[in-house]
Amino acid sequence: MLLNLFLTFLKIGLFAYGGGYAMIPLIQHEMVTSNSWLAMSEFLQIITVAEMTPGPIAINLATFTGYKLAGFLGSLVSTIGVTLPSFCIVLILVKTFLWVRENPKIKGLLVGLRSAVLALIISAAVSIGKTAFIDFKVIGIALACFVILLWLDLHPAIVIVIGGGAGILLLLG
Amino acid sequence: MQLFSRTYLKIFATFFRIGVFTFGGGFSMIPLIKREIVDNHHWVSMEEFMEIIAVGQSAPGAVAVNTATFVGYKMAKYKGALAAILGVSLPSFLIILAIATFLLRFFNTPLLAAFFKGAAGAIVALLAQVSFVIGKRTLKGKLSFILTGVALVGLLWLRLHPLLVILMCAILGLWLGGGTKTSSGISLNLKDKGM
Repeated sequence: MLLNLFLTFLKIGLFAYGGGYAMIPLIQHEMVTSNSWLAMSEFLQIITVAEMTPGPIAINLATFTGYKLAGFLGSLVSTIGVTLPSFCIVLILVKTFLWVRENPKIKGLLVGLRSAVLALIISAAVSIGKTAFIDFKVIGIALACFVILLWLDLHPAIVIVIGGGAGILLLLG
Repeated sequence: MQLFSRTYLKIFATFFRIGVFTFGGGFSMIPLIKREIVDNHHWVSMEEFMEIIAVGQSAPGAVAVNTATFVGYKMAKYKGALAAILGVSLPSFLIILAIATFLLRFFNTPLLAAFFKGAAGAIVALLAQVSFVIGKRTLKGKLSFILTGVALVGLLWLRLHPLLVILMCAILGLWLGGGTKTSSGISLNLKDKGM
């Protein structure tokens, strides 16, 4: 399990272009869809906590998922797994960056990667929406949060707290 | 030697602070990182900082971790990069461990269950808004529209593996967006290292 977790998060760290949000659909696929290591509701709890606690979301997600699946050592190997690709690739890029940026082939590659990540995040919104929207109240909360995000540009952590608070008010009991 | 170890400690402490005080990850961390390393410590100039952020977004993984690696390396080579990564990751790691250890058992109480159900709605809204923001930056030119469309069809209708979709878009982008440059040997070489 530990080796599995390490390799899975290594893979996730290697392919998550665009940081934490790009990681959500990848973790969802590995943990919920293909391996059934986590229920969708557990996965949503993990995202909620990762958004509300300080630090990089990627680290929060990896630590929490690792802990849930295999305790302390699980969280350790997951976190190392998810940071290792960053570490190696950035160190390579430090030396080659200017050349990389000017190379038209690499530009095309980056357009491809960014487009894929955009599609991944949209698909995560769709598939999480299917689970999260258990009734019209939650859809209302989501719409209200979306409006708040677009117009007031509030911090993500605050919006999550607002959503959760509304959940307590509307859904409790 | 004493001086060196003090440098590592300083790098570690600075990124530890960044890790403790930034919520929401990714782009919301950039202003604080700038304040610490450009304004307070003068470790890098504003131009260098912009370059660092660009690299942080071109590499996979967390933007904060990438930025930390780059700055740490600039300050004190490999050990500096390691000190910065440890500093920026450790607060998250400890806080999440504490929550998982002490609070996990309360997650299914009615109060927290209701909180999480509401928060799930907020997460969908957040992902929609992030799609909006990234979409504005990404969707420039025909290629990006086509690739995003292809990727969406692959993910939502054909239910392809996400990694397959990423690889497919990367290869298509490399192929269609590469212009007429023929020295693909070097590019491929770099791609192997960069991927």
